[in-house]
This record gives sequence, structure tokens and C-alpha cells, in this order.
Amino acid sequence: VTEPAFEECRAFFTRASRRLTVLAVARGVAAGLAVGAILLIILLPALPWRDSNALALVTAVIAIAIGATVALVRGASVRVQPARTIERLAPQCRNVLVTAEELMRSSLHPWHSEHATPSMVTSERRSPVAERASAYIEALVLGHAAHLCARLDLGELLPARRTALALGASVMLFAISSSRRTSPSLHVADALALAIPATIARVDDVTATIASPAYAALPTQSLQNPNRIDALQGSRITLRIHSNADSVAIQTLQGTRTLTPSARNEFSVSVPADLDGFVGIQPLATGRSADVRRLIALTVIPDAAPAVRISVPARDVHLKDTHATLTVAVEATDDIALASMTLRYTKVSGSGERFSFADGEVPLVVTRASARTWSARAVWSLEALALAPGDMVVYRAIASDRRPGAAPRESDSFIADIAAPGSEAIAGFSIDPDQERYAVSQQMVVLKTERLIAKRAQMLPDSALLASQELAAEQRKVRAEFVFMMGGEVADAPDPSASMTDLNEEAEAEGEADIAAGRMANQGRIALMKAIRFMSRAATLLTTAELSAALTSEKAAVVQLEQAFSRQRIILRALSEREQLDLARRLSGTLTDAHSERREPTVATESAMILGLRRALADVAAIARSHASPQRASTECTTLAESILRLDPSRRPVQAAAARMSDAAIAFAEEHDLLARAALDRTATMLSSLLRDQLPLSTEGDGAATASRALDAHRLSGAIGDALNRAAPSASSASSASSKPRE
Amino acid sequence: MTRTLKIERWIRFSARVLAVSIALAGLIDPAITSTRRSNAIVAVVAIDPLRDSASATRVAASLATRMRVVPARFPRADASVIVGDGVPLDQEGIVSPTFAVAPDTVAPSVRIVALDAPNDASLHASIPVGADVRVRRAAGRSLTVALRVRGVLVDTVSLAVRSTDTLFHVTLHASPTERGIVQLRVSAALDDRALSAAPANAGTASAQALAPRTGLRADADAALFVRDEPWPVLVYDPRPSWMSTFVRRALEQDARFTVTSRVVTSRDISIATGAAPARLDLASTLDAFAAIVVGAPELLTTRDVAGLEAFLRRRGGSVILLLDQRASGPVAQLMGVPVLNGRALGAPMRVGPGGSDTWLRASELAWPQSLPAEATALATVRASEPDSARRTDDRALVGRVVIWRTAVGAGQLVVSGALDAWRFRDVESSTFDRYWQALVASAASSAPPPLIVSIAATVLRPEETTEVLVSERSRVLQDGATGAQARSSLAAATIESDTGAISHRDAVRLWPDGAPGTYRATIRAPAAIGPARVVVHLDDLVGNVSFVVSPTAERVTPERADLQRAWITAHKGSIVTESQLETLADKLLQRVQVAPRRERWYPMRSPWWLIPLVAALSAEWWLRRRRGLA
Repeated sequence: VTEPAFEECRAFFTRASRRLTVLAVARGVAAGLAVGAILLIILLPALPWRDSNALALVTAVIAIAIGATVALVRGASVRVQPARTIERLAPQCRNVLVTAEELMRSSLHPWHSEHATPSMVTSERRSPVAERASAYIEALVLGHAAHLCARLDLGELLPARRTALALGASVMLFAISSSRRTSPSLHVADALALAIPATIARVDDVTATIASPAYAALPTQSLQNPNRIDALQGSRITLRIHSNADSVAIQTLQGTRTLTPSARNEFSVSVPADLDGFVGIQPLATGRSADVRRLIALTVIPDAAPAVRISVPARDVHLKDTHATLTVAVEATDDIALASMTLRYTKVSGSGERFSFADGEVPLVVTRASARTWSARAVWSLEALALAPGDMVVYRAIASDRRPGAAPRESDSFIADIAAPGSEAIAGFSIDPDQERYAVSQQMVVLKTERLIAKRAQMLPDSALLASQELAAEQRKVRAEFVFMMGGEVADAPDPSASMTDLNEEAEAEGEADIAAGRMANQGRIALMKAIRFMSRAATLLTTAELSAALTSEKAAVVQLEQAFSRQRIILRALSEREQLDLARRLSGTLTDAHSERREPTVATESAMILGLRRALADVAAIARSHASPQRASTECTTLAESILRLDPSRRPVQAAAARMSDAAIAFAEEHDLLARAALDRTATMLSSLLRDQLPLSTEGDGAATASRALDAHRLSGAIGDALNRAAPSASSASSASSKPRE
Repeated sequence: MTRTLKIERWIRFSARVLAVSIALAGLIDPAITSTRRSNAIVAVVAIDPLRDSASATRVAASLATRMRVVPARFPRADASVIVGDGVPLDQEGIVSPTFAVAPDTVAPSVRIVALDAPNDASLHASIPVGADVRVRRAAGRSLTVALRVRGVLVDTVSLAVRSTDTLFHVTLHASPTERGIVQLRVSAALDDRALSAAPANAGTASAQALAPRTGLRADADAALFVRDEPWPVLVYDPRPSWMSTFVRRALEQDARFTVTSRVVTSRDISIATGAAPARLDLASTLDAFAAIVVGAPELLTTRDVAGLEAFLRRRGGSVILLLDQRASGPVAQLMGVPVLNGRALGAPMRVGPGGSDTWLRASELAWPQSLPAEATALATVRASEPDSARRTDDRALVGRVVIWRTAVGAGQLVVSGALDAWRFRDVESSTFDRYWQALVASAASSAPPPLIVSIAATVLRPEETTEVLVSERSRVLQDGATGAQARSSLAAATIESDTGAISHRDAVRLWPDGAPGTYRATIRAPAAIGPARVVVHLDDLVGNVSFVVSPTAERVTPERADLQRAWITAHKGSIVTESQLETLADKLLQRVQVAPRRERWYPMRSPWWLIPLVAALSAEWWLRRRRGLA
């Protein structure tokens, strides 16, 4: 055997075997990665740890290992005998390479010994080819083989391009499939949904954008598929609905309107947030069935009025002189934002029946801790108001928020008054009790006049006259009270030294024409003026001791006073219809006319809330028990959800119950029976809880005992009580037992 | 040689004699009586033979080495051992001392041991349903108790289990939606999945299949008759009373009551609503009412008081006396309180039952110097918020009984000493309306109807038997003086079931049951599933009671461990678990006193006699053969 030919052939076969091995491994890796990618596509969505990158790494390692191993095992024979593969790819070699390989193997050349297994070596040793071949032929064959090997190009015979492409494709496929964001499996449904026309009109997504009123300056809020929307009153809610329906019906408490798509599968509607309620979104389609209605509870949060209070001095103050300075602190808060804060006062000056009022404003130093919380302080010198002793200042803080048209809110009013000379009590002395004494009533004047008439026969004329004049004084006093009540329009007497009870009758009489003509058309006022007039006449008559005539005027004054202060003017407005006084019987009638009366018993009626909750709970039970089709059950659930929400749209538990009912409707529509029944259970539990809050708790007897046993127990208890009570008197008289309960 | 033969012959003869003697003795079987101290005899009894027989065999085997065991009831035993959970229903033949071998509880388990649900309730109230749930071996887990009404979940409570053996008392609430009988099911589960396995139509066979009895879940059924008929209540005021007026208005707002009232405004002049009786002294006119509320009771006449007492004793009704001043006069005798103390407080104090969410507030109180016998305190003066600022003498009133109830015959008399509680009826200061509604409802519900029909179980399986008890109020409550005349009424009942298209009716004879006016019958539930009722006819009276027929009716599992413990303790024994079985013999021997006893025994009945018999016969035969004689 020529050594160069042998070496050339050996080198060629070695290179061929190595290239075959590399290509086989590459193909195995590609196949493994491809299988791994397919497994990931199928299984990845179902795996709980699909988000982990380690899963993809482990899968890749396993796929590469298995693919390479399988390739190596399958290609073992090919690698050991590469000549057969080359002969198949290059037929022009006419089996020279195969013969050369066999001859080389039979010669137990080190090359062969490196690659052949012991069993092969043993079998080849007994090969008849080897036995027959002579050295010449061997040299000839190897020479031809070496010549062929030199001409053959392994790159052409065993191209790597396809294998490299396959490997690259597999790597890319695996990379794509192992990514959770781009995993095709996760988008299969989407792709199908796009490819296959939908048969059910449904609402896929609802985006609610809540734009608060401009004055609130709140950021726009966006909610995705909300069950409930809480919005400030005056907000604008824009719903963007993604649906494959032909049109969408929007249902609110105000009514229903139908939307047409503004773009492909896009609907838009704007809903004002002015009242609590709900928004129902019903997809509509012709020729197709529609999905369940989506229900969104709407809670409108009113803009609360600001709260303002005077924190310092927060009480009425009595000032000794007019030069005092008052420190006032004001605090105000609002749920959105405050707009203004002022301190206003009313100066009240004058006395008797002449008061004057002057309004003004005190400058404040305002500190804005935030838009919602303000505080202010004022050091208020009262000297500028030119107050006189006995005057007073009534002051209050006023705050307003930014809501347009909102009425400002006032704080409690406090008084600062300047003490009048002598009105301040000295320690140890009380204020003149006459100031607290109530005036003698007109009825009392009548009574005293009647008594005086009764006693007149036994009295001396002078005494009767004196008593009558005293009554006249009292009558004027009563009259003065009512004149003051009328605001002092009746002019006082011109003589300033005269008593305040000495009134100018003429000036009053001048105004009588206006009253009688109806120019001061106020029944109460007319009656009161007439009463005053009758009182004046009575006072005049009493002065001259004309008691009978005076009594007539006095009684006429009483009648006018009753008309002025009774009827619908004052008293009856504060009474409900049921408790209305029977005026026909007031201070009238005779005892003999009194009689028994029989009325119809009052029938208690339950509130609409209780009735509605009870009906809803019964409906939930009916749906749970029914064997209706899922679609029908879904429709019933949707209707019921709306009914529940209508009970009280602003109440959170009611909203939650309606939301659960909507969940049941969706679950029924998707034929998830267990989910639907679970949602029904939750709805029923919520409704029952709401109903329980409205109803009294039953405390009826002992539930475990039957009525017969309870009756026996009561009888026994009664008998024991009777027996003990019969024995008790002596014992109880002897001992002062406590009435503390026996535990 | 001769000597050897003689000896051999003697041996042969002796062997023959011995064998014959043994045979003869065996034929004769002599009995020997002697006094001796023998092993203790213990009877081992399985409480439930089907369930506990294997355990009983193990117990017998463990005791057999140290005492004589009889695997049955044995009156002459020295002690008894019962095996199982509970107490044997038939205790005949079980001697003391008695020991018990209880099964080991190794797996978590939950049982509903008691269910407290009313038999009937108003449609216009929320109904509490109490359940006692025993949980074992489940520390660290959570217990969920749920109430279903007609298969719909209406209330759930979840509790944490912190010890290995816990008894929970859970109160759930049902709000009925319509009148008629409804089936309630209380479920307790240690596993939420076990609870959620019950579909909405729980109670059906399929539901049972879905919720297997694993020990992690327990169910109990009850039936509730929801009625819409209000209780008739009479409000009677001998003079206008603010207290009575506002209590009446509270009752008029409650749909559970029909209020009839009479307010006497002057002599012979009154304002009445409905068919209010003119006077209280005519008991027959009061029978229609379940409760009578009396305002200004100090103006009741002796005849009025007598009428009220007759109403209490013969009608079994309830009377509520609303004092607005310290009562005196004839009504004091009815109250059984000779002296009432009273005081005007510096500031109103809270008055109410302890642990309740309803209370009153009053500033003028009256309380009895001593409570009447058998009286129950309904409301006491409670320590409330600004007590530190109160007068010392006001604080001393805390704990005084202001509203109390006492039994008068079969009726109940409630007296209120919260004199001016009406002044503080605003919802911010008290629960005036709710308190009086609840109190009057409780009083009115205890007034029995003319014919009381009760049933032992309200949920029955098809064709299951149960007992019905009927009481005729007028005869049960008649006293000896007035009810002497005997009456032989023929009482009969019909069982009616109406489940849609199927209507069924069975007649049942009611038999007198000891006390006058009471009857008893055993009824069999219809085969038809659904609501049914027993209608009882007694002369012109008709009464009924409803029940539910359900094939999957579940009952409470009574708490047997406590009963067994008490029973075993009473029988001078103790309880061991199966895992402690090796200690049972020692405990038995410590407790059992085995007295020497005269015993007859039969010595020839021992099988050991065969050995000498065979040996003697064999020796005799061998010796004869050796000599060529055989």
C-alpha cells in the first residue's frame, strides 16, 4: 500500500466524516428547536410560570440536547463509513471509494482502528475481500481513490447552506414562541376573531372619560370597563365603546338613545353627570344575536357647600366702650376649592322703637393653606363704626366656592354689643326684673275689666275710677308691645318727655284709611292694626271709667289678635294634616256636644325599598331554580340588574348587588353555569343583607320549642309565680329585697 | 423374672384401670361447686353493631388476656364496655361500672349539632337562624357557615378555627320573600370548595351527589312557615297618655301588627279605631287579641284588672302596662308589686337589655322594690357615656330593673317603668320604635292560637313518620273550677300535600294524650316531594301545621360526646379512645371489685384428659403385645 495514497484517502474520509457529523448535529439541533417551539406554542399559555425566561432557556437546552443526541445516534453508521455517502452523492466514483475504504479497514490501519468498533474490526478481518485482495490491487485501488479524493469537493458534495437555514429558522421560531408578548398562541384567538366574522354582537371594551366641570379644575379621569362611575356633579362622562354591533343603545334614567358607529366598531356618547343612575349599553345588530347589556352604575357626587366658622372669639362679646378692638379669626373649608371669604357685619343702633341698621364688611387677611382650606384673621377696630352705648354689631363670615351660581354659605352670627349705662349688672345684683317680665296680655285686661265691673257696685266711685285708670295704663302697655312688634310705624307721641305708652292717636288714625282701603293688604297686619285700634279705644274709655264700652273694645281687640296670630298664618303651618287642630272646636262648643268617635285603623305600609328588595330577591331565587336556556336566564339577569339599580342608584350596596347580577348575566351568556350560580348566590346574599337592614329582627318565641311545649312552660312558670307570690307578701314585707336582676 | 412379670402385669392393670376410669369419669361428667375468686367478667357492647362491631372485636381481644369477655349485654357481668360514639338507646343489660371506648378523631370534621330556627315567622321581619357547629381537628382552618333559602344563598359567616375542638354558635339571617312554607338549609364546611359544590338547587339528589359527605361539610334542614297575618294588638288608654300614644304609633308603622285602640278622653267619651272593646272586663271581647297594651294603667278599675287577668290566664295572652306615673290602685295587685320606687333624674339615662342594640332613654323611672316571683328583667338602667358627670344618686340606679316580665297563668305581663321614654324617642337618642316593636312582637307571638298544632320534625323524607301534637287552648288553660265539665271531642287530622298536579290527602286519627285537651298522632309523610300540611279538625276549630317532604332531608347531628361523658360518669366509668386501648384493662381492674363467688365447674370437660387416656391405653396395649397377648 502506497503510503501517500492511503494518507490522502484517510484525510479525505476523516474530513467527510467530520462534516457529516457537524451537519447531522446541526440538523438535529434545528429539529429539536423546532419541536421545542411547537411545544411552547401549544403549552405556554397554560403554564403557570410562562412569564419566566428560565422556561425558554431550559426548553432550548433540552431541545438542543435531544436533537443533537438523536442526530448523532442516527448518523453513527454514516460517519463511520463516509465513503458510501460520498459514492451516493458522486456516482462517478464507481465504488472505488467504498472499495478503498474497505481495503483500508481490512489493513487495520490506525485510521480504521480509531473509528471502527471492535465488533466491526473482528468481522472485517474475516472479510473475503480483504483476504482475496493482493497488495497490487490494494495499491491500485487506493491510488484511484486518492485521485478521486483529490478531485472531489466536500463542500459541493455535502452542502451546509440548507442546514444552516434550517437551523436559523428554528432558532428564530423558538425565540418567537418563547416570548410571551409575541407568542402566536396567545394571539390565535385574536387572529381567529379577525379572520372569522363574529356572530354575536357584543361590547368588547368601554372606556369612560370623566371630565370634571371647569371650575373644579380636576384632572380628567379615565376608566376601562368600569362597573361603577363616581363623578362630580356637572361632570361630563364620555363613553367610548368598542363593539362589533351595528348600533348600540344607551339606556339611562332619562331614556334610551341609539348610537351609530363613529368609526369602525367604535361608538361614542357623552352623558352628563347630573343625577344618580346608571348607564346601560346594549349592543344591537340585525340578523345577529346580541350579547347581554352592560350595566354601569353612576354615582353623582354633589359639590358640597363650603363650611365656614368664626373660630375666634366664637361667642357673643359685651364691650364696655366704643373704642374696643375685636380680633376675629375665620376658618373655611370646601371639598373642591374656595372662591371667596368675607366678614360682614350689621350695625344696629338706636333704641325703643327706632332702630337703624347699617351693613358693612371687615377687611380680612386671608391665608390659603390649600385651595380647599382657607383661614383669615381681622383686627377690627369698632371705633370707626361710631357706635353709641347700647348699640350692637352682628357679624358673620361668608364663604363661597367656585361652583357657578352657588349660594355663599354663612357662619353662625355673633354679637358684639356696647353696654348701655346701668344695664350692666354689678356683681351681687341682678338686672331689673321688669325687663324680663312679660307684658300683661290682652286677655288679662279683659279679665280684669270683667272683675272690676263685677266689683264696681261695692266700690266707691273714686276707687272705681282709679282702678279703671290703672287698667287703662295696662291696656296702653299691652298696646305698646304690639306697636313695637309692628316696627314702630305708628308714630310716637311728639312730646319726648311723655311716656312711651302715650301714643299719638291721631297719627295712627290717619293711617287707618290706608289699612281699610287695602293698600296694606295683609290680613295679619290688618287684624293687628285693628286690634291696636280697639286697644286705643279701650284705653280711652277706661280712662273715663266707661267700663262696659271698654270691655267691648277689649274683646274686639282679642278677636282681632286671634285672627292675626292664628289660622293658617302661624300655627297650622307647623302641623301635619293628621295633627291639625279642629278650629271649629277651639275655645268653642259645649261639653254636651262632645261624643265618642270611631276611626279606621291605620294600616302599615312597607317602603318601596323593602318591596323592591323582596321582589328582587324572589326573582333571583326564581332564576336560580329555573331551567331556562342560558340566553333567557342572561336576559332575565340583565333586566333584574337594572331593576335592582333603580331601587337606589346612589347606594353602594345596591350598586354592588346590581354589578353581581350583571356578572351572572355575562356568565349565563357565556354558558358558565357554575360562575353564573355563584354570582346569583352573591347577589342574593347582598340583597338579603340589604333587606335585613330594612326589616325589624324577628324575636318571636323560642324557635326550638314547639308551641305546645311553650304553652306548657308558660303555664308552669305562671303556676310557680302564683305559688311564690302567695307566699311572698310576708317575706317581702320583712325584707327589702333588691330589684336588681337575677343573673 | 417372676417379679418382673408381676410388675409388668401390675402396670398393665393400672393402665387399664386408669383408662377405664377416665372414660367413665368422662361419661359421668361430674360437677364440682366451690367458692373462689375468679377473673372479672366484662360485657363488650357495640353501640351501633354495623358501625362499631370491628372496634368491639378489637376491644374484646385486648381484654381477653386479663379478664373474661362476653361480647354482648350480660347482666351478671362485673362491668360493661360500650364501644362507639354516644349512648346506647336500649340500656337494659348494661351493668355498672360502664366504660366507653370512643373512636379516635384523627381527620378534621364538622358537625351541626343544633339548629335553632322558628317554626313560623312573619313576612315582615328578618328571621334569625342559629346553628351550633362542632369542629374537631381543624385548628388553623376556616369554617364557613351558609344559609340557603329555597336553594339560594342568603347569608354566610366565616370563622377562624383556633383550637382542635371548638363549638361555634353562629346566627344567620333569612329574609323571606313570600308567604308559605320554605325550606332552609344550613351548611357548614371547612373547605370553601365543599361549600361551593352545592348548586342553587341544593337539596336535590344531584346536589347531594356533588357534595359528598366527606366530614368536611355538614348540612341541616329546617322548614319555616312564613305568614302574612298580623298579630291583633289592642291599645287601651283609660286616659290619654303620651307614652301609650307613641308606642301605638310605633306599632302602627310595623306591618306585623294590626292595632286596634281605644283612648278614653273623658267620661263616657273615647276615640276608638277598629273594633276596640269598650271595656276590659269582658274577657270574651279580648280573646281576639294576642296582646293588649295599656297606657295609664293606674286608672284601670278593679273590673278592668279582673278582665286582664282572665285574658292572661285563660287566653294565654300578653299584657303590656306602660306606666307614665307611679302606678297605684287595682293594677298594683296584677303587677304583683306592692311598692314602686320612682325618681326624676338629672339627665336621661339609657334603659335596655344588656347586649342588645335596642334601648330607650328616660329621665323619670319607676322600679319595683322587689321583683315579683319568676319575673324576668327585660330592661335595666345601663351605665352610659357621661356617667362621670351624673349625680351620685343617679349613678346608683344603674342595674335597676325598669321593664320586667312576669308570668300570670299561661300569659305574660310586661310592665314598663320608663315613665317618660316617649320624650326621648328621636332616632338619634334611642331606638324607641324598634324597642317597642320587638317587645310587643315577642309578647304577641307567645299568645297561643285556639288550636295549637305542632310537629316533631318539619322536614321529612318521603313516607317517614313523625309525631303531631295538638292542644286545644280553651281546655288546656281552663282552671279546675270552671272547666270541670268533661268533653269527649273527636279529633281528626288530614295530611295534605299539593305539589302542582299531584294532590294527596290522608286521614289520621288523633288520640287523647294524657292532659285534657291534648291529642297526639303519628303521621307518615306523603311520598310526593314538596310542601305538605297537617290540618286538624276539632269540633269547630281548625288548625294546621306545615312541613316539607324532601328525599335529601338532613338533620342535625346531636352532640353525643357530652351526653356520653355524662352518662359514663354517672355509671362510674371513664372514656378511653381506641388509641388508648391498652389502658382500658388497668382502669377496669382498678374499678371492678370481683367478689369470691360459688362456681360449679366440670373437670372432665378439659381436653387435656385425652393425653392420659391415650397414654394409658397405648401402654397397656404395648405391654400385652410384648408378651404376645395381643
